[in-house]
Amino acid sequence: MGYLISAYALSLIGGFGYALWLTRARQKLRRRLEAASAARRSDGGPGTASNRASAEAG
Amino acid sequence: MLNVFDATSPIARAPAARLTSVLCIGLFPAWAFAVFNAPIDSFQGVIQKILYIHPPLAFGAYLGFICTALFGALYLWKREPRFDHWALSAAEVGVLLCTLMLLTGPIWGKGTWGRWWTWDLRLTLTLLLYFVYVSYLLLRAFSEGSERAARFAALYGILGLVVVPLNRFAIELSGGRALHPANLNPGDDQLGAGMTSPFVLGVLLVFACFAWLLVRRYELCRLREAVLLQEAESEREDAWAT
Repeated sequence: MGYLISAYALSLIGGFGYALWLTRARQKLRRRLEAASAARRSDGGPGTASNRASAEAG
Repeated sequence: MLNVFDATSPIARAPAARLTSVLCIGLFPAWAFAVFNAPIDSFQGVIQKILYIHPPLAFGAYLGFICTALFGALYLWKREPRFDHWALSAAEVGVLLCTLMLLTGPIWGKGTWGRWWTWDLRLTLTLLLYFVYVSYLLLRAFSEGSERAARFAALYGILGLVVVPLNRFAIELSGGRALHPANLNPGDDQLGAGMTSPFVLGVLLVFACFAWLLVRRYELCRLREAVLLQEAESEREDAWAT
């Protein structure tokens, strides 16, 4: 019985563990993406059209 | 709290992706109930119930490696990065299922043969199959973002597929000298009364989980690409502005 429970427990832990890892990785990447987008938008940052135009002008 | 069924991204919101979530949630209790109520084998005893998880994991691993080869071939043909992402995702999920299969197999072996491992043809080829696809993942990890590496990986994934039929038919190839039991297929009459439905449900559940994990892993590839693009763009603009 112990062997049977170990086999099923390992399979479930492996499957759910990988699913959780994927979810955590996705959340981290989303935060990184949002941070990068916010940095470009904030305070007329270097990525904005107005800033680019002013840099070109002067 | 982490929600693994979170479906906020466009890929996860796609009907096919939602269907995989529904299938996983629906099949899991049905499979668990069927396994619990399955008859106990008169020869092996209760440990024989590993049958409802070990071969389905093997079928899932085969599916992953077949998908790796198919998407690799599509990538070589169309040269679209999305096919490379699908191939990488399928290989990773395939390796996960192969790992679980390699963990559950020795447990069953110890309970029935009295040994964790033996260098039987089927077992040896399974280990070879595992190393072939672990090497694929290592190759991808050490050569991230390179188009040349993606082309090589696609070819490697296609050639690696040769091991799958060898592994599947190892019992027949060994000419009856294999210690591993004969192959089972869904709907096979080799199974005793009441054992077919938990086995078939197990195969369907593993396939549904494979599809669900594949979509999520692919989504991660796309997201990672978007982040790298955004960060590179930011750096380029910063450099240009100064």
